[in-house]
Amino acid sequence: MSRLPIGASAIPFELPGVDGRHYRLETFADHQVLGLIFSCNHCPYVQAWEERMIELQHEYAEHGVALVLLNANDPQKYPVDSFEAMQQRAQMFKYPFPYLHDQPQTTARAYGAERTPEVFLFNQARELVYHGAIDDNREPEHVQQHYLRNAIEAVLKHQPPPISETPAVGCTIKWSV
Amino acid sequence: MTLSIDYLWWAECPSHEEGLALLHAVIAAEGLDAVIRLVEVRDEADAQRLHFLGSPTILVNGQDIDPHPVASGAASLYALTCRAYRRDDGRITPLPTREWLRRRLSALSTS
Repeated sequence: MSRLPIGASAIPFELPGVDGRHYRLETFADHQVLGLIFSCNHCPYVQAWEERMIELQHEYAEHGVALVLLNANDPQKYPVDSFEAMQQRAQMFKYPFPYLHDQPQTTARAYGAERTPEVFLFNQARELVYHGAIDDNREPEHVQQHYLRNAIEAVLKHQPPPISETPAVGCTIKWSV
Repeated sequence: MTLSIDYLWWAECPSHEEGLALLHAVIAAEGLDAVIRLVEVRDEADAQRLHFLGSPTILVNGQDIDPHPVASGAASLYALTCRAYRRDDGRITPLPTREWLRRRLSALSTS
């Protein structure tokens, strides 16, 4: 499985969201920036970064930035990552973004995602401009490098992000086979 | 009394090195007498056999360091997974905080 390289085009997908709608890459065509974040319910790294993801979406929504969470974990191995549990978590934490269920795991495999959380950020041409971690520390009070925020700011100014790739730090995606 | 500490870790969860360094630092700072045994959990069979709640798991004299372990969400109680710890402020984190670890080691060293 190879990871989508920087500069590559976003790969089409069609996945159900916890709100009952189906989402495709084209659903977000009117957004200047699209951030796909492979995520899940159970992972303590996701939970450590969850509030920051929510804050970022709230902060940048009016600037044409869409963050989208995708959960590809096998719910047989992790029942708390089931679609029903995703719906509950999205409601409990008032997710301001779509939370999509990649049950066949085809989207995660196509993007070469391996961890949760793992960010793939695209510009308006839907070219990958940043891949990796949200920032450099799971503890918000110790963050020094705001990778995702800086990348979003750069794309909104039609500039390349100062850092285009970082290691995603988190749980491994739980593959069904 | 010398504390016998088992440090159980799984390579695919990224917090184990930082967790071990934290454990060493707290033991040194508190002046505790401890022997740490590293146990790598390699597969699901290991996880079941060792009653592995996630990486890292710290056993002090055979007792889990967390009296109220956070459920991993896996189908099996014991699994290859990253361990979750609850901070004093309620937030979930992949490693215990230094202060929490200090308190728990202190409590277990006198029990």
